[in-house]
Amino acid sequence: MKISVKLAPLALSAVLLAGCSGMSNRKDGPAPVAGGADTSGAAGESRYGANRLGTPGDPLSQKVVFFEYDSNEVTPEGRTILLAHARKLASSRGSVTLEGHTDERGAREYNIALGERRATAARDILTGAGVSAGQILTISYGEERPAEAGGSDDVLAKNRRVEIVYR
Amino acid sequence: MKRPFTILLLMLLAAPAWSLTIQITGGTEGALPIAVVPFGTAGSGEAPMFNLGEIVASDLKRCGRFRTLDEKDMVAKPNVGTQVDFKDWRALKQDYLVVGQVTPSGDSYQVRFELLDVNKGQQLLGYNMTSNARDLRSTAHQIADMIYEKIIGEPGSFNTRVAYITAKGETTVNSQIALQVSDSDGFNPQTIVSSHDPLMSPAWSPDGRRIAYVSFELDQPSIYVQDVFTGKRTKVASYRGINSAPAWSPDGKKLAMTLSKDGNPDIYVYDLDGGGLNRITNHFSIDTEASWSPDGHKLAFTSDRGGKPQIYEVSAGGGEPRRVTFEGSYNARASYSPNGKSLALVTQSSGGYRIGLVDLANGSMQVLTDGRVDESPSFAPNGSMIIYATKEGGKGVLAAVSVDGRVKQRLSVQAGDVREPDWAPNVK
Repeated sequence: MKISVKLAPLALSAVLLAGCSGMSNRKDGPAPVAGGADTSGAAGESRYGANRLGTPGDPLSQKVVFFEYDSNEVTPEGRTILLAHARKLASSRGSVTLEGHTDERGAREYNIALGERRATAARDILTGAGVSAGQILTISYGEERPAEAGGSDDVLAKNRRVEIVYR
Repeated sequence: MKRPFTILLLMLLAAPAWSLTIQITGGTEGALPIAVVPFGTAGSGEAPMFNLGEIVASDLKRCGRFRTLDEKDMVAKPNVGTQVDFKDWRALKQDYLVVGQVTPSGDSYQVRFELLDVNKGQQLLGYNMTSNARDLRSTAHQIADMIYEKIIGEPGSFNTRVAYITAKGETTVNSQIALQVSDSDGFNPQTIVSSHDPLMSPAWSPDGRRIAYVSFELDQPSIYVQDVFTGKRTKVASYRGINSAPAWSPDGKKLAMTLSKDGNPDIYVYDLDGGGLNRITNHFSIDTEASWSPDGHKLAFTSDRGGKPQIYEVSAGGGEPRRVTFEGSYNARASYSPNGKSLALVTQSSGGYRIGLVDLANGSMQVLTDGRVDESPSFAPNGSMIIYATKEGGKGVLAAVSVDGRVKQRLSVQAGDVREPDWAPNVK
């Protein structure tokens, strides 16, 4: 019975710490993946820090593709990242979820639609490069799951994204 | 042995959850001067925790139609009409005076109030009401509604409720999202759904008994309809892709919604009785955020078929949509005013996203707010105010603005972000 008394403040401080850390490790964070180049294993690492752990410059180590405001056009950098994942997926039985996200500006339901459009644009690049449609799921979170909180241009840019999540 | 937890829980519940700040911007022309004297307490029972007169005054002030007299300017504080010297109130240039008193008796309260016409020296309303500790704030809102209706000639919207979403720790694994219902001034919040996954788009049914909303708990957004009183809920749409933006038909029998099951987001109407699904729009652009016109004949929705998001109207049975907004490069999330003559929406203006009001007769737009990311406008049932979501110090808060844009109020919850308010219908 004494244990429960001690646990309560511990649990509370854990929530507080998580709330302040600014890191975005959800259940959809690093997932175990077969294949040497995939380097997302470090639990607790920020999503955007993945590049530091991998082979420098390897597009496979990047799992986030960014977009311009109110746009679903994949940038050349984004295409390079997606094509690297496409090659890996086309030669394996692996599967991914493409999560579309937007920044906080504008209407929430419109942003759900915009996030889906981004996820679909990413999917089309994967299927165009030979990945089977059955290996890909898409979901849009709109502005509901920001990677970072805040309204600066930098934060807004980090939130306009598609995340490639291996399942 | 469970005592420590019980104490912790009680402390959390006892924390005052809301504060209400009313900010008057712009002139006071057209606002009627009214003095609401703090209600007295009669008898020997324990006085309530709050003064009903202050709640009545706060309601009347925030709707924009009245200018209330500060308590410090009152030369007398009568509690019944027979104590009133009308000369005092004429000297203070008041048109109306409200006096009242509360008599606690056991578990209940007797509340009496009078509305007086200062210039004529006459009583316009006089009522005796019975209430209890749980309903006492509601009784004060009811009094404000009676006063509003007597003077303005239209029903008040104070004794109503609002649904909204609260969020904590959204960027972490520990995100806590809740759908809550509170009084329209933000007090008495109650959680009706909570989740670690996003909850969105609460929408009251016209009978005020049910709320439709979107939940991501299945790792795919689905639309649910939940009974507010029993908590029982039904999943009404869970197709592949987007299931979002539910909107009730005025008769409560249908839900308009956005589905992308056929390739990209389009508007559909779902028949809650028969289960039939009718596709309303069919376009490769984004079509979403339907709102039903009060007569049930039309739907307004957001579409970027012209390149940028704008508002279109379409017959509720389907057909060729007609564009209705032309001012500005971003207009979205429209909802009809209760009289059907205007649309409240999100509009991009001077770099910010604000709440705009479009006159459907001539298409002109009035921008009512000045925030950076204002969104989710919802009309009070009598059309006098619009509640919406805004950011203050980086935190999501609810605010309301009178439809003339003159009076703004902030409702701020103590912890977390608050957003997506939907004002409940006035169910008498």
